[in-house]
Amino acid sequence: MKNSILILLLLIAGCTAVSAQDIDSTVNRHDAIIEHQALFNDVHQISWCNPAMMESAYSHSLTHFYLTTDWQKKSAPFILQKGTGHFFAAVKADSYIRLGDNTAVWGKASYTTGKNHDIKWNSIADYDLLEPDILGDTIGGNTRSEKYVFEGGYSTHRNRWHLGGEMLFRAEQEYRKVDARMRSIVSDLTLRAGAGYDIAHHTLGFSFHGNIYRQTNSVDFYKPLGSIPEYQLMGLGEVYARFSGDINDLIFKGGGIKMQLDLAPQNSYSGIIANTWVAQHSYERVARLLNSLPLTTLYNKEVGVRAGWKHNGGLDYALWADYQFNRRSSDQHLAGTSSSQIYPVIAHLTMYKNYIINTSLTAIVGRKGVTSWWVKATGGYSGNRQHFVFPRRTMKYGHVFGLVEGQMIVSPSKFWTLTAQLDGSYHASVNDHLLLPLANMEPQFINMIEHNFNVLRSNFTHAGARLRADYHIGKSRYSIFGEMQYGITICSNHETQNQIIFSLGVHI
Amino acid sequence: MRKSFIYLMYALTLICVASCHDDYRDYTTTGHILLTLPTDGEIETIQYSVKMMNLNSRNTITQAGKTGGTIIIENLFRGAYSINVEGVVRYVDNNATTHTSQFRAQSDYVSMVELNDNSISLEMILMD
Repeated sequence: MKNSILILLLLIAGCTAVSAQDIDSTVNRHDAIIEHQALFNDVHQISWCNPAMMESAYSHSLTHFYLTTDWQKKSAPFILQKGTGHFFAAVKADSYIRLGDNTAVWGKASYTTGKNHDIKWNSIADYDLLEPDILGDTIGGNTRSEKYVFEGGYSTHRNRWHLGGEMLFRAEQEYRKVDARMRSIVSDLTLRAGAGYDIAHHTLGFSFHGNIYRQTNSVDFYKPLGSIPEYQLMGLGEVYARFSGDINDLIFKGGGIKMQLDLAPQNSYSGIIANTWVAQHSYERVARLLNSLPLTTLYNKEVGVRAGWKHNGGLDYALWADYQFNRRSSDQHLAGTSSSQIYPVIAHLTMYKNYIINTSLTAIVGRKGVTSWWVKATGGYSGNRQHFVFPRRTMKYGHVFGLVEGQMIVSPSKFWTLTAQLDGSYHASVNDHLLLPLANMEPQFINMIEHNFNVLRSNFTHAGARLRADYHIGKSRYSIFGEMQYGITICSNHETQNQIIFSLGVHI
Repeated sequence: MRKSFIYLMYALTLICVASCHDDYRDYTTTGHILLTLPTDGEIETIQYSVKMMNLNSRNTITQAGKTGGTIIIENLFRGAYSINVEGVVRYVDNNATTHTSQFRAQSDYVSMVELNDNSISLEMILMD
């Protein structure tokens, strides 16, 4: 697999060298950096999920090859299932190449390896995607992970029509070398197809996204006398008690679809920004040891809207509103009595419900030039409400938040491009509530839920800085760059998270 | 091409709508446990204590009462259960003799998933 990544990186390098002949001056390279790094691109981030819209995303080709390290450390786990931090090292390639005036291709390839620290109550990979339907235990520990990512897309423009397609693939394994020896192997494939039509200096786009997901998971104990139960968690500390203990061999299989409509002004025009999307994904947890008995199915339905205005001129500015609603629910599949370890499913019950809402208003203003700068401010509300039907459990928390980002890109000489970015945010808790059937719960489950809740309902303060320097090597097509990013998050229950990211590489 | 685009959008919208998932919200049901005698006779009254354990969640419910032969358990969470009934039964045999006897009745597995009527029959073990 590592060899495949290297071959892919070389292929991208070859294609880029052939097609990047237009980038032969330091001025062009400076412009390419500004265009690809600009904070103002946030205006289009959702539209660019439609591959048909990517043809007009950038006018400059740019390809990065780089090594990066990502270190994160928390004073205590914010979420027990996510651990106290991580250290990852990665080699990555990221490319956007224009093939003439009407066509663009882009792609990414990366190999990431590293370690997650002090994970508890979680013996699977992709916690954020699959929670609360996970396997977990009280011991936990560090896990190692390896991740391979390949992405590629093609977009073309004929008359008033835009067409595009994109494929994203991720393969990942996460494992532990001491008891409890969890091992998860993930394959995650997303295909996107999109179309767009030019109308009144805008592009109206439609895209369809399909996803196939699979994770095989097992937990082994090499020291049988020291084995502990693996719990089939179902949400807010409830477990599927009948199949908890030694049913440690699972498959999570699922996927889903997403449809998106976009309206975006064409480059160098002012106009309306509008995006709306609906998506549904489901993930079934299957016990392989019980002849593929489905235990639970998690559903994630999502609807989102963005609406605003973008102005292109001497001073660029944009204002938009975002609304996103997720409804996650989990069905428990009730097993009947077994015959030769084959259990029939006799009924289904929707036991867990989770409602997530994010709404915000964003304004950004800035100017592109020899010295480019942008300032972005966002204010909004995020809320999360979870219920388990019986025995009744409820958790909810909500925050109002404000976020400010500033970015400046300068070129002190024709060989250098410097980028500086600062951001700060504050999330203030405005409501929280926790209801647990304490009399019926074991103490370790109560402690787990209360720990997570105490962090989730906190106020969060975040500050971050990012510095990047690009050196354009004379008349060659190559530039080298180095980047450092630091972020600190402090929550009101006195826990702190620090994160440092270093990157070093070349771009063409 | 514009028409094809619109038809494609209609088709994909239909796929999305068709693939939407509805919740299973019928959480509770009513269970009927019919207690029968192991011998010929007619039950006059039963004083009982029933304990049902949900096999999937291990949650346990108990109910005690008096009945003429059928125990009705309302607001029962749908699922698979084990049942254990203990109590005292007074019955009249074919010779018109009235007996009072302690009994037990149990089953390791019963399905209580039907929405309206879940009837099972358990034979009492009399402890004369």
